[in-house]
Amino acid sequence: MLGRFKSALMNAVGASEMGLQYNSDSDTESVTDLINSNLPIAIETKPYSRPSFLGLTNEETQVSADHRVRPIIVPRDLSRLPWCAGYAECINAGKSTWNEDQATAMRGDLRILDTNVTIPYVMFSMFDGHAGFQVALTSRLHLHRIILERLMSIPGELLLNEDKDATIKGREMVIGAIELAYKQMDQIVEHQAHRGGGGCTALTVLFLNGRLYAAGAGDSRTILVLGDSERALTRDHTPDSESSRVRSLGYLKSTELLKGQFTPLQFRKRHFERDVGSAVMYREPFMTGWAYKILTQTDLRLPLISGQGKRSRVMGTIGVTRGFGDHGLKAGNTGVSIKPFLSSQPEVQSLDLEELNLTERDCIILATDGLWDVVSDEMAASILRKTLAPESPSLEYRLTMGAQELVQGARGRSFGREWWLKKAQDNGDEEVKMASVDDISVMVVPLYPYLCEHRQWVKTQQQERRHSVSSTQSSPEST
Amino acid sequence: MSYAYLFKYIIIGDTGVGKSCLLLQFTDKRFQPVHDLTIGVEFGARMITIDGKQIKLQIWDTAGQEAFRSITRSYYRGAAGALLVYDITRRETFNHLTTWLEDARQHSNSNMVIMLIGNKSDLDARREVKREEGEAFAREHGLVFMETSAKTAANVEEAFINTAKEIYEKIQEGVFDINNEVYLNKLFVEKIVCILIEYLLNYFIISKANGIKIGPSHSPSSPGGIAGTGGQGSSQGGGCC
Ligand SMILES: Nc1nc2c(ncn2[C@@H]2O[C@H](COP(=O)(O)OP(=O)(O)O)[C@@H](O)[C@H]2O)c(=O)[nH]1
Ligand SMILES: [Mg+2]
Repeated sequence: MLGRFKSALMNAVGASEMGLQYNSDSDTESVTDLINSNLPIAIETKPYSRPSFLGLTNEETQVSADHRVRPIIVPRDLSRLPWCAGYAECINAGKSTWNEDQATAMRGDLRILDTNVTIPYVMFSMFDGHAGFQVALTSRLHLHRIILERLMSIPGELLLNEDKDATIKGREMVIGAIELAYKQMDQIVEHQAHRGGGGCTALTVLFLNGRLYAAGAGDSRTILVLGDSERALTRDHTPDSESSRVRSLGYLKSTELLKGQFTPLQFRKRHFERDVGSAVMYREPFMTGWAYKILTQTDLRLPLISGQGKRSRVMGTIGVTRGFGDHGLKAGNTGVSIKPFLSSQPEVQSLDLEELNLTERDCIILATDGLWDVVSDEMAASILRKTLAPESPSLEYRLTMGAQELVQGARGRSFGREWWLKKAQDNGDEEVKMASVDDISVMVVPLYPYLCEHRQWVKTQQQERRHSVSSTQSSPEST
Repeated sequence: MSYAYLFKYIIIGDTGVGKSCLLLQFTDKRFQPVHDLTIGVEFGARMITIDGKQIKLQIWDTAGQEAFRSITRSYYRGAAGALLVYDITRRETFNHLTTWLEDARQHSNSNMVIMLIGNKSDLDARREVKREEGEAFAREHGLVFMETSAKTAANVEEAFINTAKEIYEKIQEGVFDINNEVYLNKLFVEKIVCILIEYLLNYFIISKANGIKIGPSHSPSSPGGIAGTGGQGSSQGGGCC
């Protein structure tokens, strides 16, 4: 049984990016054991590389890391990505030796173990690493495989069931599979963490059974560009946006997790020794409004969450609250562990693509905060629309041109050692603003090709069903 | 492979003049009749010897379309040489040379050596630009000139190597300030620093971990060992710039 599972998996994955070692190769171990074991699988630590679909040689990888020029790298062979999805990246302006963003894509047929059906799927993921490239790299190499393992173990009956009245719909099983896969990925990273800390954000976009799933953990973001409108499909997870979750946890497990060093309460402003005993504005984690309290000595502890928006931090240290890794991360000077406040759980949205009235130029954009820090959703959508509009060169080229324009729109130009963006404003003036000095990665995935493929697949399925009903003696083993 | 100098080249000119083919001919000694449209930038590298010294040429092949012009402009930085290419069978590619030259002069180091190349010399029957016109343009603007064929390989070696000789001479004459320019063997210096840091780090981890060996990565360019000290590596990289 395991043998069959493994070979089906290998087929699905293409095995190119797999460096996995199963604990046991025994045939007696059942698939469910493997799936539910949650045992972190030992994983090789790989040397630095860029996404495999870029096809870079070692030499090119070196050159791509030129911090002074920050060349925008696009795939040499556009057909390496499903539907010629667009991709472009550039390295940071010098904050780390290597580009710590990663991306990967995979397409194949998902073989449902308990039926004879295979369902085509396509998956894209993007990661933004911090404090080293390793966690993002490991995630790039393994996350898709883990998601596939989870998907394969969903009973076919359930997976394909999108019936309105069903208590559990297929999509809920798919979302659950992605959620569990993210959790397992984090465990694998922990297992590997002897190499040192570091972590990464994650975005996954999955096309399956006519639906689009957009999962995100961290402050990378996927947006949908549909006709003249655009909207985010994932939510940024920063200390600010997750203030409630993080502070509630600190509030409930204060002694254990805050070690008398931090306060989970939020105050209107920073208070000092002299304020003790006076009435101050504050809020507890579950509150949306404000209240008064008499300031005590313990309230003078450092705030669990400080700063606002992009500059907010947990324990003054980390600015992103979901993703993989950071298992050993401690708050500076205090030795208090930060990981309990970080979550690997993605938020997942699912959309029925038939309901969107898609046209050829409708896309989703996946990007790391290198883009979103300086380019709004609206600006990104408008840059993309402008690049996709012309008839030539063909759309396959323009998807990558769009990704390249987006990266350029965030990277800007260098003046000496600084990077600036120049934008012509409506009144003819030029507005100058700081460009992104972070790693920037952008993927532009067209939605229409999947819809066409899916419709075709549905048609073929129906024909086959009719066929098998009419010829009853055909055996399912005959293939 | 060690080398004494690293020269960065950039290849510019209208789309379709044969930039990517010239690069392929020089690095791989082959001609590919259909070449995909270049959207971004592509890199090639080859080692050459001048005056008994190993020199590595790192060549940036850019996209020629107007739409990519602003991105291409950002790639001149640090280039010691440029190959400005036109197609002898298409006059408009010759007519656009002035704009290319303006771009190059404006965005590069003033000492960058520019080689003017009239490509597709094998298509003499369809020639629209006379050899003399190319020579005159080069003379007027102080460029070196050659006609090449990426197809037959005629003059391709010479174009790349003569440009390198020119750069090399400038270094010998002290026109280029070695300490401030990228053609300095910067990557080589970086590699040594990387290896050193990696070595120290591994030594540190191994002794700390009490005999548990954490496998060092073997390739000198592998960043494995400097993962945790990205800051140091990068300040090195930035420092040379
Ligand atoms: N006959 C001939 N054709 C060439 C030569 N160099 C390039 N070509 C052709 O010109 C076209 C454009 O070449 P390419 O290298 O892609 O141009 P680029 O846009 O400047 O990079 C291709 O179809 C090549 O086959 C040459 O020296 N002789
Ligand atoms: Mg080209």
